[in-house]
Amino acid sequence: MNKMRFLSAALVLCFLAAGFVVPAKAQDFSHIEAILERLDRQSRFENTDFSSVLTMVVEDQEKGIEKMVVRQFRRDDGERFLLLIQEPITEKGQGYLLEGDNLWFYDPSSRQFAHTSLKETFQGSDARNADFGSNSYSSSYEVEGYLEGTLGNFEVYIIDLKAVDDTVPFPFVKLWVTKDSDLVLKTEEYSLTYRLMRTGLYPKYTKVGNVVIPVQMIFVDELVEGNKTQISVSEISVNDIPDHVFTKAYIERVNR
Amino acid sequence: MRIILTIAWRNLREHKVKTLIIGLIMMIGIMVLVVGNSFMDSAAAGIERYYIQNYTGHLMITGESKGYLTLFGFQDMTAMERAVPRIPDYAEVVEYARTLPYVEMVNPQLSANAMVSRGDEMLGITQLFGIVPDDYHAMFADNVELLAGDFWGPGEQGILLNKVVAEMIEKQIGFTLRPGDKLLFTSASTITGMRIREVEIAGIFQFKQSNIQLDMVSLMDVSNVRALAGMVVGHAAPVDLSPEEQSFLGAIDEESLFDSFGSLDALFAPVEVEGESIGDDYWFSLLGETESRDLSNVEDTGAWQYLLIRLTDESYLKQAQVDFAKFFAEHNIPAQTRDWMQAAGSIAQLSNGVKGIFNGVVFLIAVVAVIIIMNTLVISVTERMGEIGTMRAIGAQKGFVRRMVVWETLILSGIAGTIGVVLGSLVLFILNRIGLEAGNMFVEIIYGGPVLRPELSVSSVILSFVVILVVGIVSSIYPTAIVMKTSPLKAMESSR
Repeated sequence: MNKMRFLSAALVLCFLAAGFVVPAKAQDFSHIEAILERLDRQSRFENTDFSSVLTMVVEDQEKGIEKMVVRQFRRDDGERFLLLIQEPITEKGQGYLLEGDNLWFYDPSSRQFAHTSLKETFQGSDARNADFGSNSYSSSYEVEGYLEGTLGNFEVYIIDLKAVDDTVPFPFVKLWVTKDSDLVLKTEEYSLTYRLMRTGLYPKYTKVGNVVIPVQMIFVDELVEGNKTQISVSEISVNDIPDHVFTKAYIERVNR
Repeated sequence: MRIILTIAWRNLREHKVKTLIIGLIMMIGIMVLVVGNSFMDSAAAGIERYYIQNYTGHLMITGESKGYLTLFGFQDMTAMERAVPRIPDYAEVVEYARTLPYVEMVNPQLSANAMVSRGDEMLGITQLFGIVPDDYHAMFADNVELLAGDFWGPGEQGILLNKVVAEMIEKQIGFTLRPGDKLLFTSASTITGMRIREVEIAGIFQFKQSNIQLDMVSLMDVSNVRALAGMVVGHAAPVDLSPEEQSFLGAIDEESLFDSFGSLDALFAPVEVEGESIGDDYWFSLLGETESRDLSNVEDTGAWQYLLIRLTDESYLKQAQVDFAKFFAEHNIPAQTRDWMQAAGSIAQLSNGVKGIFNGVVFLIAVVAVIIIMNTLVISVTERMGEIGTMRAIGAQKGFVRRMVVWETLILSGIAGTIGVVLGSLVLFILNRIGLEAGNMFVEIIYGGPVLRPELSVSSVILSFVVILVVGIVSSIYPTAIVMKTSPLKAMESSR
């Protein structure tokens, strides 16, 4: 009888304890989401075109050090870009043309186009094709959490993001964003199993009108030690680019 | 000795039930071992035979490299990060191979992976073997069954599409592929970047003996495979880096990278923004001349990744490996040989793994058998305690009694084992006649083909006898120890 009473009392206490547990308060990420929106907005050339020259230095354990020079043309209003490779000589004239959701690769040696994806690596470097367009943090990711910390001399938010679809190269991203100026200084990109795949460092920026773009980027391959790609941006222009530049016909013609 | 054998034999006959139980366990164990090991040996021999005859030859020569390099490319974590090396000084290597009296035939090959598309539509992927039809035919004469079309002719280009790949594509495009149709092949290696080739289908084929990995292999002309694998004559010019670019080479300390900037302003670089408008001429002359590019992208016709070698007899394999290693060392050629098993890749090795698992199961069964037999022997020995005590009392030494128990077990093992081998052989004979059909892909991989006809292997008989002998001896150790511990007087008393 005593045993029964004890059991009943324990059961009641359990229910009461359960009732008193305070539900975890959903964290308010609105200010972080606002940061992501600002990051996206300040990376987009809304009213102008944008062109530049990308110099890429690829360090690879197998191949050694290689240098690539790429002409970049962007029209963010319309989601278009063209990347035209100028060096090395064996890849000269190869191009990547983004038309909305379609990314085409052009091989001048066969004069053929083939579909590719923004998620793929760019020409065997540690950059992804998606690195050459504007940011889409607010639309492609949701905030999972954040911390406050420092990186070097800078106070930063360390923001954990989770992809909301499979259009981005990595499903999980961690951003180090300066608190007072919304600059991404560092990124860590993870696989589905949360394995660190790539680290991105952005030590130099420039401002063109209202747009802030990194002019120096370093991507470190976290799978193969020693593999790294540094990209510097030069010959920046916001002059109008003719419409025909963002066409397949242009890439074919410029290769003749 | 004769006395021991006589007593041991008498004991076995006296305790018929126990003899029968232990004998039966041993017989079944031997039978399972003979059938199982012969089965696995037949499967392994089948896989070896069909890979050597149809895909790999006895030996594969490649450029020197670490990692798991197979005929299908690297099959490890670095697969996407590394290009299959070319064989250095290929002409010299082939010439040497042809001078060796035990080399029957050589066949050079290339490999690449490609995505297949048609128009805007991505249709699938295929593994490509770059081959010269005459050389391939000469070495692997009976492997390819043409279902439509034919090999491309000398100097021509084309692809023989694997039936499985063709069916996969046809499902998506909704019509049957025929010779003459064209498909786009795009390679996407992280080493060589992307390359596209439009290739005409010369024919559709299937490998006569295949598996899930080989079903994805199509045969393509070497020019197109070289192009897809980036095997061209041009090399990148020596890299000239600015001091700033050089400063970022090697490991980077993230903290100090951002420490060096005193303030936020320092993060912003003064970059000149060009303001001048540009004329039309500029846009169409961006690349400058392209002739030197075209010359750089000319196919490197001497580039090969694999040289497959068939020997006149498999017994020359070790000698061939030694001879080639010596030749490479003497001529300072960074190349190496790999045997058929390494060349065949993960699927062939899977069957070897299954054999390992089977041996593990056999070991477990042996442990259980030891326990059962030991238990039965303990009972048998305990029941004869009085008899053994009497023998000890009239002068039988400990060694005599120990040998007697061991010989009992050995005689029993010998008889039961022989019967087990005979019965196992009978089962194998029947299975060989019937033929075991692989019901699914996994079993087909283990069988090394669609039907397995197991044969009795001598090694399995020897192994089975060794196992049963060890089981017999091990299982008689404990009962013998019990007998030895008991004094003759106590033993005689226990029988009253």
